[in-house]
Amino acid sequence: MQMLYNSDSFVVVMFDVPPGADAQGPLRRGGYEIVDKFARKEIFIEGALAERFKLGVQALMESSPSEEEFDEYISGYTMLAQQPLLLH
Amino acid sequence: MLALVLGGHALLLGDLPAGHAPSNSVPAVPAVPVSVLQTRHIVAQPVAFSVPSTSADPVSVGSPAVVVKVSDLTVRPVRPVPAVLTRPVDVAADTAAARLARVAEPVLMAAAAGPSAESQASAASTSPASDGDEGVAVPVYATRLPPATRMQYELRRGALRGSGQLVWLPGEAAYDLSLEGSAFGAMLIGQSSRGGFDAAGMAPLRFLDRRRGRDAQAANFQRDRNKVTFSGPDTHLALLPGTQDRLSWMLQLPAIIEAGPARFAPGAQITLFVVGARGEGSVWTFEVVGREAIDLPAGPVTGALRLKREPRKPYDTAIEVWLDPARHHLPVRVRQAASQGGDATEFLLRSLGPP
Repeated sequence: MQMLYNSDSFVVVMFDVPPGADAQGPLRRGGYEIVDKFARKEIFIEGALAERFKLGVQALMESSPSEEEFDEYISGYTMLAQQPLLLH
Repeated sequence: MLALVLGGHALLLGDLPAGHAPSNSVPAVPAVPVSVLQTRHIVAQPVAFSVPSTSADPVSVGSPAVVVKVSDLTVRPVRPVPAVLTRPVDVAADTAAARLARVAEPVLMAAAAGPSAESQASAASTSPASDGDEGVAVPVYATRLPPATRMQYELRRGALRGSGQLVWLPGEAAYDLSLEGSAFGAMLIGQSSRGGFDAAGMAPLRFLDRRRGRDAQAANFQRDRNKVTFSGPDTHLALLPGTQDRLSWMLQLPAIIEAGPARFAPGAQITLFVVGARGEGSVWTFEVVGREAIDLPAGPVTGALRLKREPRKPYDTAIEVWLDPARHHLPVRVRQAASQGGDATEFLLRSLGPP
């Protein structure tokens, strides 16, 4: 668990669970937890979505973005957390 | 949306045979909604992490190499040059300084004379005077370099958090130094300096600066020809005794203080000539602010010596550094303004050990 981002609006924490000795196969669980401080909600993204999130941040970092630009990008992902998805 | 989902549930339940209907006829909401994307509310205290205050950031924007022509020098307002510093630097002075450098007290040398006829006659790009540092003395200091070390840092840039590592590998006659920093799996900083030692301490030979999305750029210290050349811009600077690169100062500064800590009371100054990889070189004057107790990921440090480099002109890099007397005065916290705008980058010591 490692904090990657901490602004007034959001916190992003990375969870990386490396394949341990007892892990079977190449299963590797990890992802990002995004906390929306104002909405008091969080979302955990993993897999392809997490990868896309990371690539977006890296692309953003090349332009020395401001905190507002970062927050705006992250808010695009926390929108998902505002609408609880109920599935069978 | 919710109505749709509930409606879907109602339909599903309606399709079931009557015998399977829930006996106590709960409303048609499934007992356990299985969420693929979990959401849960956070109660009370939102987040315990503190947000570092960045309001006081001095915003100093670095420049792409600025080469000032001789003609620019003549219109630039000139600070009065102290009488003792009016001697222009030449090669003879270099060797004299090298001989004198073992003396404990700093040997004052003029980094650049005022715009006298003589200094104007020499090519502007070969002299630090081209950088607007007329009349600033760059002394040669006694140094005492720390042993080989690997330092792990927490890196902060604005709201971004990452990690950094400084590796210092001194040998008998040569050294290797590197500083790396990354966040979100991407490199933010990648610098390396290698060189040797001379009477002035660290004597860089090659400085390499890699930045994400750009080619590596290098400064080459041609000690036999007394000049610094660059991989990119077709310019060169005079190589003055004690000249550092944008990474080696992080070891040279501790080494200077370690050689005589008593000399560096609040208000004391250390002046270095620092060269970057983009053809830029300027006089960096650090001033001792005082001793501070600071909290770091590695634990509290009492009596950290804080030094500050105030930007003196546009495109100067504002730097603050905290040196720990208990750790050979190595930098346990460094705060450096962005070179291209944006947030300052800060390094906070996580751990220190042998390489």
